[in-house]
Amino acid sequence: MNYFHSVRLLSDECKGCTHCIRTCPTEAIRVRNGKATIITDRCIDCGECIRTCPNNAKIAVTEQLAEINKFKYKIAIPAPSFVSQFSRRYSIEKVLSGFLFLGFDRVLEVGFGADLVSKAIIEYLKSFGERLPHPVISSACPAVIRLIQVRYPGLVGNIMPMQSPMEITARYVKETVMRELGLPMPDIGVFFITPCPAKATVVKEPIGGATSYVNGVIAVRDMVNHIKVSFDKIEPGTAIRQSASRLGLGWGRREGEIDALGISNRLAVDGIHQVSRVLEKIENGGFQNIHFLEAQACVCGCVGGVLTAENPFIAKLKLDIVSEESGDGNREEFEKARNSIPKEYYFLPDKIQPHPAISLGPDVREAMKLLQEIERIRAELPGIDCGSCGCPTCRAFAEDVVAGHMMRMDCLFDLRERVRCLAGEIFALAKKLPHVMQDKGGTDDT
Amino acid sequence: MHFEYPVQGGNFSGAGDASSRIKNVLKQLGISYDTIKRVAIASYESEMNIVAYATKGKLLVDIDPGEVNITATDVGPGIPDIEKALQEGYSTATPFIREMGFGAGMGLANIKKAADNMIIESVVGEGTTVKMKFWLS
Repeated sequence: MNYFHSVRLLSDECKGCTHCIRTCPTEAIRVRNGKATIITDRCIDCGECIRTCPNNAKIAVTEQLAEINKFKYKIAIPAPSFVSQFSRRYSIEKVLSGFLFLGFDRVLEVGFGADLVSKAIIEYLKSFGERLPHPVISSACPAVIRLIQVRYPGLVGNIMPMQSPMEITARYVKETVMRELGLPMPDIGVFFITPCPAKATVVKEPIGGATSYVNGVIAVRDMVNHIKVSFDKIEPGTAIRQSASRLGLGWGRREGEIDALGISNRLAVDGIHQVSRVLEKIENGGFQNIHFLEAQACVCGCVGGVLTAENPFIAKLKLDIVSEESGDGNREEFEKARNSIPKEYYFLPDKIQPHPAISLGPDVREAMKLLQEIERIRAELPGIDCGSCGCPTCRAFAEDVVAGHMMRMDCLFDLRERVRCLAGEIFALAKKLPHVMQDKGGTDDT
Repeated sequence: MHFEYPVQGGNFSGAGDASSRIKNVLKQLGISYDTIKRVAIASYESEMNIVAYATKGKLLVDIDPGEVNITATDVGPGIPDIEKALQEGYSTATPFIREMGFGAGMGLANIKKAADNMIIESVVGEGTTVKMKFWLS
């Protein structure tokens, strides 16, 4: 499967340490020949490896600002978490004006799309009510969706079939510009200012049969730098007005989505490893009294994204303050959008499909044979998950041996044992004297 | 093929490990999601029963191409009235167990619903064995 991933490895920078193989939530990384390699079927582009790499060898592919010049009309759609990256002397209006200063023709916050999507979700939950699986899982975080497809495929049916605020914002602003200015679609470039690599991936590999209306993604931290550098030159644009409401902006942090939905029996969980634990429990039949689950891969939510610049907790605090101070956003524009966007825009065209990446094969009998072999090898291994073989666990090593990617002797403990046996044999052989030589009476332990 | 997973009574923090491992094995074997879900619910509930009520126990898993059998066996107080224990909402859970979020009286009822066949054998003062069968479609 040729799946686009934004998370990549810079081979020259990689020292072959084993930090990343341990933090990867889907065991998608191995160290081979002194370099980390990513198993693409398993990678969910969450960016945990970028966070943890001490050598900055893991990166996320995003666009540079100059890319916008490929389009006649340039639109920036910054994530709700974007404003959390600035200190209080930067008003939202001034931050948004910065986009115009940097060459964009228009800017619309994804928080505005979040306001629209919140409304659509409330209606969806109301109209389907008890027919929905428990819990319904939010579709906002693409890393979580991918995690479910890869590791918890039985739960794909729990994911809400909704488009993300990013997509709704992109489509709305693009179609508005086409209509108002009479521009053809290929002339308009919509750029999402992203806090995370998973968003960069989902634009190229949309979920649920969708087509993305986003033409490129620029990392939040890159854009923050551009704006801060030219901050003194930015005129607070009179034409720029904050569109997102307090609730829409809140989507950029943990519990923002469930706050905007205002529903009961909801739960928010953040941090990819905690999300995994919760999904594990849902598979076991747990959380049945929870109706809606907001699950976000990053600690504190999108403000904790790998491509942000600020500390997640500080960023969350800033976003809390900014959203507190924000009112209802641009109600006029909101009503206009509510009336002009057809209902079907909010829904994914197709069902979200599972992409199980741990199955040993399509035939149960064949898979059982392989699994027996894996178990046999695993039982012989030290079980301390040292990572020296380049696999995250001894079990993963056993799987890789059976798959033919590794040899038993790639386990250092195994290797050491063999060297010890060999040394013993050499020693025993060395003691044997040819008959033509005379034993000088040396001791055994010399 | 056969697997055994020990379960420690009273260890609420490690509870769920055995059923997670069983689930992973089934996922690796490419078993249907519907079956995995049923096995997961039943094995988790029986694991929790051992954790909440027994001193110690284990989950025994036998997988054939046509069926999955799980046996949860424990050393513990046993069940005096199995009929009653099967009723939804009936529970002998202590306030402590309820405090831990368990003891709603749905465990055995949920296992019965999830499994294709269930047999409970119990001796008061000695322990309980719950045998669960799942056909692979």
